[in-house]
Amino acid sequence: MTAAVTEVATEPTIITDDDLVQRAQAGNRQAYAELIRRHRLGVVNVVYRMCGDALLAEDAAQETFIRAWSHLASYQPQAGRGERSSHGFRNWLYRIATNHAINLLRRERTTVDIDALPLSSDPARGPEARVERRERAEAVRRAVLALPDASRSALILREYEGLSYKDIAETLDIPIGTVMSRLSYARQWLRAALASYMEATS
Amino acid sequence: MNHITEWLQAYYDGELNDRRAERVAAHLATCAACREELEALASLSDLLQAAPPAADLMPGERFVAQVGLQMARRPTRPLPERALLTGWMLAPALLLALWAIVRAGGLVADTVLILLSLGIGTEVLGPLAANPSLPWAEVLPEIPGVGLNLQLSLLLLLSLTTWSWLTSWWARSRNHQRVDQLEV
Repeated sequence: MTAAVTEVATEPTIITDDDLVQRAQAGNRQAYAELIRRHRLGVVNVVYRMCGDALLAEDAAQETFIRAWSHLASYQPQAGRGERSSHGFRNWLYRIATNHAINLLRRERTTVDIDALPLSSDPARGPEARVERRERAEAVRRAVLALPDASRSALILREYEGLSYKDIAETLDIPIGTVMSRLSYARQWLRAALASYMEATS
Repeated sequence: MNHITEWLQAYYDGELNDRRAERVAAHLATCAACREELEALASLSDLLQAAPPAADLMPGERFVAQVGLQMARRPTRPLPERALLTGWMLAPALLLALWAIVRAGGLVADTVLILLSLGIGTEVLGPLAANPSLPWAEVLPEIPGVGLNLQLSLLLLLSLTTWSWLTSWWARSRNHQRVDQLEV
């Protein structure tokens, strides 16, 4: 069967996150469910890249949404922002996610061995390419996990989630200057750690 | 190499305003070192993408459903509103307590009088015995025009408050019924 069951096609979203948030704050669970749908993958991947474990990441992602729901009243759309940002809720959500991830890491720091983490599944084609690609993927994953929490979060938000400096600053509750220095540190460190793979990329 | 390296990263991330971006672009045309640095940033970005996102996740709707099961009944309200609400809910109880205190004042005075009349505790309550009639309710200030029925006024206030509390509670529960009906 070639036709996959698609999700009900939503019309181009005229409904902003903040619209949904307002309804959710009034108690509308359906509105919140839609917010979960929109941000699920982002949250899962932020936690995944922070912690390195996909199963843990899904649990932590669910926890993030549960917490966000119970603290929904403390989120204020467009509060304290000079220009209108459409990512206010996402940033707020990612803040909860990164804090949760960092707490998890601190709790399990002594027991989690980075080398023992499950290998990520990567569908590569061809035997040589497969080995190479898998090795490189693992090396990158571990290098990112080896970064200090503070720089890792900034790097993930920038390189993997594409957040602007302003949004990263808002998410991590730090000044923009700190965002830049953490990014700079993370990138320099990674370039050194992954030096052997750096020439390989075209 | 301190000329524009600070701005290179921002330039690479597209965070510079137009004027500065132009200055950097102009500088890049002449500076090989900075061009290399920019190349390195781009290479790193590519390399980082070699680590794929999380795979083998549960289906989205299952995720949503599981979260839904664990969500509290309704999102908590902000603190000031909660405090106000709690105070409002407690108002009838507080007024009742106040009324009881006023009554109790009368009860204590009556008990003292009874004891005195029975001749018990005259030593301790000697001074009071000299002026046996000291109903405590009279200690309360008199409100001109309201007369002596302070207690009646309090009772009336209590009834009104309880009534409004009941109606607002009823209205609120009806409101939540409608919201809950939206749930699947």
